[in-house]
This record gives sequence, structure tokens and C-alpha cells, in this order.
Amino acid sequence: MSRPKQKRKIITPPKFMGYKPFGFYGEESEPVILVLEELESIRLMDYENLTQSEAAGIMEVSRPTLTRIYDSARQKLAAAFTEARTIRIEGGSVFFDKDWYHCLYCNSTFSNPIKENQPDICPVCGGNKMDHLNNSLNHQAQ
Amino acid sequence: MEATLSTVFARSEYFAVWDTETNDIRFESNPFKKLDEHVGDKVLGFLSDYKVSRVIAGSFGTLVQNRAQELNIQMIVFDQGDNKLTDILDLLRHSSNLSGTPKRKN
Repeated sequence: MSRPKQKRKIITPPKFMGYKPFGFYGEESEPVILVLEELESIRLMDYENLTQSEAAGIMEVSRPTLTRIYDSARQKLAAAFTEARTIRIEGGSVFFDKDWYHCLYCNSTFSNPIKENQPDICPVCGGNKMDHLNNSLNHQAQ
Repeated sequence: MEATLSTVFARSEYFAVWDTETNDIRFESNPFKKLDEHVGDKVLGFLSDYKVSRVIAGSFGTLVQNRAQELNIQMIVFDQGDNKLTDILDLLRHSSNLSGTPKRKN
């Protein structure tokens, strides 16, 4: 039996659920599924310009594991761009180190610095309908 | 007041520090915006002098997020395109009235 996959730490919840190719009128092929830890590896290394060691430390994985995650992400993105395939961001084996909420009225996303106190209104608009992103993304990732 | 919200917190040109008790808004130039490294850490140190409890921007870097968490500063990602300061302040004032417990905000 293979060893269960260790969960990878995600710092920032994604702002979107995927991408669709623009200006392509051919038949739509199967979407590329980019899992949350793959997106995070791209964000840390290609957007924040962190080294592999720094990114691995943040995601709490070994450097070789980070390299595998990153290579997989790059291959998927290359396939999506070359073959004009939709990218869906979902799934993965992840956890969040901070409490994040998303307001359904003003679309702001906010952290909750004191985890024991669940926010009852959005700090921006005062709306009382919000998603707890940790729950929804962890559920989606399973 | 017509300025738009910065898309990257630590690289903001200016910070608008709103004191919810007096309703004063103070504009502070970001002295660290052109540094190559550890900008977020320095910016949060700078803002903590104003006892800021919330910060709003289009996005926050990884190192800033970790430091903000340590300082118990709430991060708000607000990315709605045309984010004018005056519109955001209107929303915040409304929200502050609803909560009944005003706090300092950036």
C-alpha cells in the first residue's frame, strides 16, 4: 500500500476557478485540471520569484517534491496553452494556514486573524453572507 | 481620494491611514516601495506605528501574509477593477457603523 500523500500548505486562496481559451473555435477538448498545490507552486516560484528551497519551505514539502509539483504544473499549463484547452483549478492535497472568508456581497476576501472568533459581517461592506474558503476549498480538494 | 487601490500591497505608492475614531485620513508615502527584498516586512513595521488593525489591497505577498498574521492584522483582498479610495472608504464607513466597534483601518 502506498504511503498517504502529505498535505501541502497553501498561503493564498485562488481568486478564480480557471481559464478558458479565447479566440479558439474548434471542438472543446477535455479540460486540464490544475490542482491547488500546483497553482501555488507557480505563484511562489514564477510570480513571487522565490527559490525552490524557499517555496518548498513555505509549502512544507521537500525540495524534490516541490520540483515534481512545479514540473507537473508547467506541463499542464503548456498542454493547455498549446492545445487550447480550458484550465480548471480544483482538487489537490492541501491545507490553509490562515482563516480566509469570501464576502458574497462585495466579493472581497479577508483573513480572520483571531481564529477563535468567527466573523459575522464582512469588514468592507458589512454584508452577512460569506463563504469560509478553508472549508469550501478543503472540501473541493478532497 | 480618486486614487485607485494598489494591486500589490507592499509596492503601494501611498498608504491612506484612516482613523475610525476621529474619521481622519492621513496619507503616507511608502518609503520602501523600491526596495528589492523584505519590503512587506518593513511596510508592516512602518504601519504598525499607526496601530493599523486592517489592511486592504489587491493582493498580498506570501511573506507579508505571514508577518500580518503574527501582528494580528487583518488582510482584505479587494480586487473589483475600478477600486477608488473614496468608494472603498464609503463601504468601510458603512460597515463600521454596522459593527458598532470601530477600529483603525488602512
